[in-house]
Amino acid sequence: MLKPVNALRVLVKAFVLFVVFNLLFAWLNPPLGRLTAYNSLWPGRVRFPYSESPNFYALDYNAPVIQDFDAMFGAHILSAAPKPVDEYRIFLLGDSATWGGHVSPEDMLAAQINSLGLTSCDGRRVVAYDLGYPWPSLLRDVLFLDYAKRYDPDMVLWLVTLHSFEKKPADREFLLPHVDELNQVIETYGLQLPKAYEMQDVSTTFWDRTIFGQRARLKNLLLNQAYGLAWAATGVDNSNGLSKTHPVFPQDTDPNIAYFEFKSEADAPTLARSLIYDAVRVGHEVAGDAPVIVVNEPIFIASGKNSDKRYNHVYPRWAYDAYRQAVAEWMAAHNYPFFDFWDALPAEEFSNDMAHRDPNGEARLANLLAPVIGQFSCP
Amino acid sequence: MSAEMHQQIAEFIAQKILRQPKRVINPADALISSGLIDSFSLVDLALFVEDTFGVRIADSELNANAFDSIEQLANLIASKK
Amino acid sequence: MTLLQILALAVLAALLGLLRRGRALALVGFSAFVIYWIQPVGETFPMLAFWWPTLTIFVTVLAWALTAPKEARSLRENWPALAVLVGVIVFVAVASRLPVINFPSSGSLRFVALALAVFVGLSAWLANLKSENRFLLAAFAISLLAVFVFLKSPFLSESSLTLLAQLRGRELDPVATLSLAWLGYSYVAFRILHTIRDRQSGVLPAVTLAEYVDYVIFFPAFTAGPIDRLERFVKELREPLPLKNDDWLFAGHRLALGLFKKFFVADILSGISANDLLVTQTRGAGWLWLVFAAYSFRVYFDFSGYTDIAIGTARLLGFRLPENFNAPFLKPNLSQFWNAWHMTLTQWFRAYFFNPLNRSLRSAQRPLPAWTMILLTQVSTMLLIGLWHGVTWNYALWGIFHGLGLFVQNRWTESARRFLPDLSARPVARGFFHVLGVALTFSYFTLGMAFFALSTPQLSWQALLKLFGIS
Repeated sequence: MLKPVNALRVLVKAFVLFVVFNLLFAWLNPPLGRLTAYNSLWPGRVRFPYSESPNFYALDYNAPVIQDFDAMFGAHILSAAPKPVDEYRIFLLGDSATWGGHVSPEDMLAAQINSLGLTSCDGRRVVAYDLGYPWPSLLRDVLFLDYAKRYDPDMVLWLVTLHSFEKKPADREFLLPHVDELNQVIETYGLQLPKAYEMQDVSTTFWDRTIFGQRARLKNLLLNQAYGLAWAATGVDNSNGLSKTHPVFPQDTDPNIAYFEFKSEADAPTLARSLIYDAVRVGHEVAGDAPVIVVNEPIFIASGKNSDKRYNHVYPRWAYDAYRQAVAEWMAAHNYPFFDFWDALPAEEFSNDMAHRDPNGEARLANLLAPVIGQFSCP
Repeated sequence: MSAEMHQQIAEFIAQKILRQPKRVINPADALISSGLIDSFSLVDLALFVEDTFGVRIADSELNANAFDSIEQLANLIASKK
Repeated sequence: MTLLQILALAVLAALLGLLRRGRALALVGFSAFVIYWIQPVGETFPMLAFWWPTLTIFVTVLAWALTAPKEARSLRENWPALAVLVGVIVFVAVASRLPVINFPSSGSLRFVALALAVFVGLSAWLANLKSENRFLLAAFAISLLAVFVFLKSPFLSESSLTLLAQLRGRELDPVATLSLAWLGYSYVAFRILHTIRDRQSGVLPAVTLAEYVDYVIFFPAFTAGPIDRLERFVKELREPLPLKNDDWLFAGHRLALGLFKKFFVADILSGISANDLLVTQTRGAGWLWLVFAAYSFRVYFDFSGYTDIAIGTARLLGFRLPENFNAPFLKPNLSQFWNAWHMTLTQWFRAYFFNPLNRSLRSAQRPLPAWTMILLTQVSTMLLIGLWHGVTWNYALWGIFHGLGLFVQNRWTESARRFLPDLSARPVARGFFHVLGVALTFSYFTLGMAFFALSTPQLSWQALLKLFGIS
């Protein structure tokens, strides 16, 4: 005869199982990010999944999985197949302007470069991949590159701006989930981490690694997979990129010339000294044989009120000039290739941000980069 | 009495609703939940029961919760007599 | 409702379930509190978050006074329930002024007092009426329906909200319609309508005020059903099931299952389910079918998950609420599907619309041809079920779509009986037709989502063309 099931016993059993599963999960730390339906069930994404906030997930068909490089790269078209022998592979690193903050997939910089039909010196097809991600941070770019080198790049185009070189407390939040990877880079390449980034106090607790502690991350991993259906169905991965037209960016700026804690031109030397140059050196070392070309990305240059004091609402003239000069000198001193396209785009080709380009701007920048690619693809 | 009632109802269902006079319907067969009788024919069944046995089947009783077999229908009728 | 609210309610239910005496009255008080607690607050008229639950209580008590037979209306027996309700209303109105308790503000207390006085007076007057008043009963039912149409018609409710905002000189917030979200009204109204119709046909059991209020605003089923029947509910209220081991297991199972369906599966599916934007952007028929299929599944997991939670919570209180879903996506034809999807709603419409209409058509002196009657009853019933979801063209078209589907299926079964061979002895062939039927039924339902999930007939038409690869 069957023994009746005791509800209390079921409850205790369920609780024990829950605890055991959580402990096992935390102990094994399974690389769930590697499970991906992209490049099989759904086509791979042409740029990393990103969305401004959960309110936009269902508009962008995106859930960010920035905590998990496996999941990010697993969703990317880069993971679709081994590199073909006739491909000359270029990685684009950079911030939201490189990711393509205001353009749809077919208009973003990587797509514009690919549409030029370039070939390398040795006759291989040039194929550019978008590895940009919103928020400018050289350290994050280094981590991306460190992970991405397994995909065997032939060249790295690294688009930067003053913001990327700054020490920003906000970077820390981005780097936190990757503290292990960061420490690895510090150990291997001797990266000098600015004080503001030190993370001695940070260590993931056992508790954080349980299923319960990771529920937000796990949910986003799943959402990321699910949104593949919408991406496949629509080809949309950025609701901001749907409109090819945009209003002209405001020409008037604020008269204030302070730039964060740097008050005026007198602080220019301090500002120049504070930039994170060492990340560039490490980037070169991580890339190995592949040439790394740093490009100062175009910015919107205002011509309205106070444009004698500021280039735009973000950069005062003195600060940006100091940055350009300092970075150019440092690159020259280290013999690193550096291209400065800061004023290469007309004002009307910027869209909703001082660095976001519209489709015409993306095409113009691709054409500017074409000779650079040609030049450096030769051994 | 009960067997006769079962017989009468089964005959009505087979002949008038299913139009398969030879079909045998057992008193315990599910009628509604199985989809054998659709919601439209249920009213026919109700009208037949009301005419034949002189009880009123409420509109809210024409569902599988109130009766789902000839047996249960017969009980419902008996409870109303 | 949030996860936290649901868990808190389950705990509350378990505690109330332990109660051996005064259950009906305790349930009145707790349910009344709960409906204030879970009512969402709109920004433009936050005060409505106090007044909607208050109106729910008013309407329920008045409905009881109208439907209860004279002998059940004695004040001596029913004053405790009325006192509890008035007490809850006063408590919430006063407590909202205290900084510690987060209840929606009621506005002027003097106005609350006035409204309560009118309400108690009206209830007392109705309760003291000598005999039942058939005219009042009908008028009350019609008013309930009129309010339903008003709230469920985006045109009527939004334009009146805009007008009200202009009169009061307020900015309409983007989610202004939330202000008009009278939580639970669709279900409350249809429970009350059931009691009114049964009262009119003289089959309604006599119940006390406490029992009636418990039935109408029973908190586990308040927001989204199931729609129980009064006589069934009251039987369990009077003779509570002693909670056995199996009940705990059942409740735990349904709660866990429901939370998983609603907060996991449905949530994940929600981002990839059909909506105006996604459908417009989707390229190709195949992907569009998937996007609509995702919508079908999302609605199912969301709603049946909610129902699992409601049924599980109710069991902790000692109630066996009726089921609302019975594996609808595994049914081989549309009429079986509708016997398995939101069952308590379809049963409601069958009992109070389809069957009476059918009966009167059948009993007519010169009845219409059978197929005309079937067409008429099926389409009109499904049209009303569609409009129950909202008074819009799209819900109407969705209802008609299903009505026609049921009609076609009925005709097909009728004629197929003549030429299709008997498959009862051929399990393979039967299995094949069964699977085919399941796939067809699901596809038909999913196709109908082109009306249900989208906001205008134009969008639906374009989606239908795209689904069939025409544009």
